[in-house]
Amino acid sequence: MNITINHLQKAFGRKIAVDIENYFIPKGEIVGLVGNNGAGKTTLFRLILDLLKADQGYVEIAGIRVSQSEEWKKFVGAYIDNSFLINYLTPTEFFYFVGRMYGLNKEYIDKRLKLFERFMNGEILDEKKLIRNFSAGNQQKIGIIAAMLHQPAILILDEPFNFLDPSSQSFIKHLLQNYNKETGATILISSHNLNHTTDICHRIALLENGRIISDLINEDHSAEQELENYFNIKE
Amino acid sequence: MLYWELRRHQKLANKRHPMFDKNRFAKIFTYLFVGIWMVYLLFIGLFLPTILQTTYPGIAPYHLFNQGLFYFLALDFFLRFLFQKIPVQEIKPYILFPIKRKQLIRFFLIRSGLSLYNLFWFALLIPLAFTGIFKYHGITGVSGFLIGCWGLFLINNYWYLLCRTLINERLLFLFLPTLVYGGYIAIDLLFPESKINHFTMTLGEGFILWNPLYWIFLLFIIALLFRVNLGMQQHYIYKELAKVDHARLKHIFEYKFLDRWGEIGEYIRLEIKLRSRNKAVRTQFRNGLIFMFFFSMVLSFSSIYDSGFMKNFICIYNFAVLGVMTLVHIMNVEGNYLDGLISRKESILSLLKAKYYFNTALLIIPFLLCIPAILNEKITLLTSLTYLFMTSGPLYAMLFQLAVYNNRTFPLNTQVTGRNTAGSSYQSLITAVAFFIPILLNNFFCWMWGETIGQTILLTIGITLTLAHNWWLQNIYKRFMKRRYINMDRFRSTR
Repeated sequence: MNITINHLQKAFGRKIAVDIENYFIPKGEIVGLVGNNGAGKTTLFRLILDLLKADQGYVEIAGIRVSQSEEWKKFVGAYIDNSFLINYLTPTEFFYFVGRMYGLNKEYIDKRLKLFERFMNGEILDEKKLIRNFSAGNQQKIGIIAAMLHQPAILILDEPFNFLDPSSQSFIKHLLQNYNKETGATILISSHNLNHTTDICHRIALLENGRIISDLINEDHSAEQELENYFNIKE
Repeated sequence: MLYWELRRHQKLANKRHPMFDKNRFAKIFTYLFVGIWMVYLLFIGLFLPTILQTTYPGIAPYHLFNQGLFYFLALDFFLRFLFQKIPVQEIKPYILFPIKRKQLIRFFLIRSGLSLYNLFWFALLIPLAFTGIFKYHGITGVSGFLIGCWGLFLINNYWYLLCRTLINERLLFLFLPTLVYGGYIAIDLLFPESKINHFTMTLGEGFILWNPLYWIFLLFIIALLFRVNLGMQQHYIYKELAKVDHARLKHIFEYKFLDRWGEIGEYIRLEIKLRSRNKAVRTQFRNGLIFMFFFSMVLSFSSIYDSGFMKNFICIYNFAVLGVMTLVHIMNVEGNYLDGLISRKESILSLLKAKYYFNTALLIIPFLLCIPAILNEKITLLTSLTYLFMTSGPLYAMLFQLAVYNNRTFPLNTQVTGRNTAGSSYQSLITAVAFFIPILLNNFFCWMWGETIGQTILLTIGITLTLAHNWWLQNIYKRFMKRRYINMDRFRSTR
């Protein structure tokens, strides 16, 4: 399933948060959003997920305008921050809750959770600990797993590598790559980690002041040099 | 310097509060409501001395009033539960600055003492002092009485802060005010000749006559309570800041019977866990249950509220109190995780339905608690059913409207520190309307067509709106979705 952005604009007072003429993300692509703080990555995600009202323009997911129908929600999975977590549930309860929202039964949810066992590293499925009592890294993992639980055709993750330990970061990279290969899902992530982004993304959009100033095809890390130049990363 | 800076912050916090602009209209109503009360008190103050003098001609009216001063203080204390916040709620942002923690708490305690609320009763006391004391003791007597009363309200203020902080930690501490006020009143009523019931009369006279012993006593109590508060608030701040919640649940209840109701059942499960696992929500819910139980007991076993209006008031309170206390904040706690909920199709509609079914199911408790009152023939079965359906119908339909407009996130657990969780003026207005409209309707219909027909009409209205819940919840959901961008923005900014 694809995502279409058309004349999308959002400003907070005088500050332009997002201003994108046209942007198309085809089915099956992994797209990375990079940019400095305040570039508009999270705002763009919120606009795509209809959590913010656009001043102008629109976003379509699989041809459905996100602000006009809720049908697209069935096949989108997203995790932006911990406001996506119901923190007084245990992770297991939360996964069942999310699963049931998408009409999944317990057996299927259990089966899906098995795929994340290594990612959870034996720390998440603790039956008697509430989400709010987990570390930021483990909360991040819970949010990512919940977003992927119903095998969404479109997966949107804001800063998925944040708070994670190095081995979990590596794991999530492979997890996303495999998920994309196996299901043909469209994946949209944002990150400040250029290495991880260039490792897994087919395409990288560079955001500055809400505008996509560069849309880079990333074959065999081809975008790396340009990104390093932009961010002034010296060897 | 520091005091002025903190005071400026407090003013800015009030001025820039996300709810400030939105509630201007409701604020006017609140001020109007307070104004009417002030005028009411003023009239009581003007005429009470004359009434007392006519009834008891052998004694100066201020003696009689002073004798009842403790009842007045008890009323003042319990009214503070509705209006007054604990000062240390605002301390957290300053805690890491190089300012002594004690100094900060001292500021908030002083500010609380200087609060205008402590002068609220002066609307009654000033005219009372001039009409009842002036002719006996002149302006010095009047000023002594007023300053002394202010001192007593200061004592009440610090006593309240102390009790409220402890009660927030453990409900058991309700025994403290109950013991003090209840104990005094019990002794006064049971042993009218005992010396204790002359205590406030002597105290009041001591202030009027500027007897230094009484002033020393007053200042000593104020200073003592201030000091105890200072230490205790410091202790609870430490406790709150040092709190690391590694708590593990002892038992996990799955409520499997809810599985048969699909998504709505899942949300009812969420409602139960919301109430059982979050301190702030749990306290609110538990207090609602206590109030409900209290009103049921008063209705069933006491004769003090047997007049028509009060009986109706207690009866509607009995059914509505729990719903009002929780639903008036509908969506406020969900603001913590609304982004996650709303990114799933129509999940908010299921949430609203679950809340409705959950709250309606709870009405069985007051209905059962009402049975002794029905058996004692204090109320009829029809009255009880009328108020039950008036609650599940029109009252809930009104309270659920707040789901469209509430857009401030309330912390789930914070009790002592953190942002305040006091309701907006708009919510206060809805609460007041929620309690009085059913009584007014009941009185109107009963006056027009008699009790049986009047209440049957109300029952019909109640049942109709209860059965129509799907329709009005859909309507609320549609309006909620229309306002979703504004609401989500405010929920985020108040998290």
